[in-house]
Amino acid sequence: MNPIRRASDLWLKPVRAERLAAFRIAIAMIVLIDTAISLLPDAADWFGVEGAFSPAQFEAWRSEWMRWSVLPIDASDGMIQALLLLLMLFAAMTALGLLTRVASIGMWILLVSFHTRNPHILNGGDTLLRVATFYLMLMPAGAAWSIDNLVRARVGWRVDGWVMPWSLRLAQLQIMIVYFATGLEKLRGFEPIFGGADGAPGTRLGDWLSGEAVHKAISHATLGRMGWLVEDWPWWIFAPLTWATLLFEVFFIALVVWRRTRWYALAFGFALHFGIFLTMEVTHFSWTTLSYYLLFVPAAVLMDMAGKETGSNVQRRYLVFYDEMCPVCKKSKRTLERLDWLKRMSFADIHDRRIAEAELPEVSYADMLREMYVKRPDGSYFGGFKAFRAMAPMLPLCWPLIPFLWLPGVAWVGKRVYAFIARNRFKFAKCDDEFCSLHLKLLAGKELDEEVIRQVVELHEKRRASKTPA
Amino acid sequence: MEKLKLAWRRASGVVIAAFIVAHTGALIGGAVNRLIAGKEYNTIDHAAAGLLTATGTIQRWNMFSPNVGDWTYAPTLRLTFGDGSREYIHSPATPELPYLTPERFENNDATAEELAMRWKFHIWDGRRSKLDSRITQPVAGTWQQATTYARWQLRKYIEANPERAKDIVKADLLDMEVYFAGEKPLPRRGLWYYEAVYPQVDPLWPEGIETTFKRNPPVEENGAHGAAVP
Repeated sequence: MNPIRRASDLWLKPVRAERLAAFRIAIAMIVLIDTAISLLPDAADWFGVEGAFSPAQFEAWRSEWMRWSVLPIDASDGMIQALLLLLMLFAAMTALGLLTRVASIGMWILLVSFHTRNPHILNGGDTLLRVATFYLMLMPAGAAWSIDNLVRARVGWRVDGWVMPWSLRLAQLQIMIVYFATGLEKLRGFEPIFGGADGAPGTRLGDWLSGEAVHKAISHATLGRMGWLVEDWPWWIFAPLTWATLLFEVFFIALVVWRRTRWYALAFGFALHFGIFLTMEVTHFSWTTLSYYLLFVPAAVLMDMAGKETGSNVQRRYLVFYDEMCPVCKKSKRTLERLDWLKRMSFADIHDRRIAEAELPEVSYADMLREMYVKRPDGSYFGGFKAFRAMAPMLPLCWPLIPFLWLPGVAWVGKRVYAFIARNRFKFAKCDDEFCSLHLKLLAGKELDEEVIRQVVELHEKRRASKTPA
Repeated sequence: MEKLKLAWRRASGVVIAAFIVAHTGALIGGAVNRLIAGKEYNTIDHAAAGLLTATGTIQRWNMFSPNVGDWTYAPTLRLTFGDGSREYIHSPATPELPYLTPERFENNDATAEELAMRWKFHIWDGRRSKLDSRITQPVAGTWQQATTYARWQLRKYIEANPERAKDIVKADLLDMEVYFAGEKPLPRRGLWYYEAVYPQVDPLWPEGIETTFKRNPPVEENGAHGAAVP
């Protein structure tokens, strides 16, 4: 395709709005919760006239560059609290998608204002959050999963969930710059050291290149949640993680742009930031960064989680194929049914060849005997471990597991574990009829050639006949 | 009507395109420029920063880089009372430890057992830690941070202990650096960043404290310093 056309499409060709909606909800919830628990209770200390950043400092700070704030210099504590409550109201409205554009503009104005009022309590997560509210204000983020949409539909306006992507691209570019710039800064670790622990000047490899950074970060005396726990551990235990983090940051752009590595990159990033959240006290930094990841998640996955496409009443359903004659498979089916709170899964017996061949003509009987298959609403299908991974967006209890299922190496292990269980299912199974026993014997440890499949079909026919009333 | 719609779409398209070019230019240009120019600010920085500041998207991404650092900050307010006694006000992020007084730091007499003691948990004190770190690393144009911090801490102490207020002669803000990484035994030293606040000279000395002390003549009378705010 013409490169100019491709570039134009990238910025202007409509995309699904679900990613923007997910980003909107995540960012607004972080603003709401963080304001409620870390700003409002200490409002007078952080922003008051007699607080930790004086009005004189505020005035001097605001007068430089093009900084601005709607907060008066001598705002009373009551006024500060009222404005924080207003910020929370805007955040709640944004999360719900109620007057989304107005609410997100209000959220941005107040967040910038409070950040200008006291820059001394802000970390990188706050900067990223403020930047996110700016992009959110530009986005048609209320085009999906919003009260605005319900109102639009009620009055008869068109609601289709397709939006222009330029604001989405800006936000994606933003997080790419964050990682790339941070990664390059970390590579600049050859700076002179003016007086190290022994007071002697000199040069040395920076913490990131030398491999010490992660150990130092998590054993940090005030930022480490329980730094003393790992303080005495050898630093080199964490060296691979240090270098992996460095490589991840430097190559983040390539990893997320290339579709084949995107899921793995996002999964690694999730594990990294979740690890930071568990080990370090850096307020909401991890969750804000991860909110940006939602901008890279395929809209189909988000629609699967929501159950339907914006603007459509058709429920998105998964069709799961399982072996009705296998007790382990039936137990798995029952487990899935229990986890399927939203009732979005349909099940089909692989021995019902009419359905199986109509739905998945490319998958042979032998393949289905070897492993479970699932078909998604978009027609794509997966078997074995990948089927379980594909089903996770349909099962609310499994949502937290999704990133971990995509970690590099998990599929390798998962496939082998699945294959082991499938191969040995006759050992784990308790059959309650002779057909089941015969079925498992046929499958146990044998190549599933034409002869075996013929016997399985025959057995299944007998079983069906035995269950059919005379 | 159709022509008007088309004109509107074209005009908005031009505005959006101009914004995208300017914003991404400032973002990428600023980031690349900083990598090349390092900490020195130049014209490109000014142009990029102006645009990004106006939209609230000013940023510099250098978290924990190029080095994580080996120490942390433990700001402590030392109150000196009329009878010569002292009290230490620690930050909730760096609460009291046996060796965490200026005197112990000066004497360097902490035992190995004392040095092995650590702050156990840090949960939801990230904002306070950041504020503490800003005492020695204030953002540009806010050099008064140490004084403001001392006044703020003092004001909170007075609110909690009104009966002791008039006995306070002096408040010193001291920042102690605590090393948590490096060769064993852990070297610790205090890098003294010193800020003293006196009721006689500080025009913003917290309200409610009389500026007349038993052993100190009132400042207003000798006119040597500005009067305290009543």
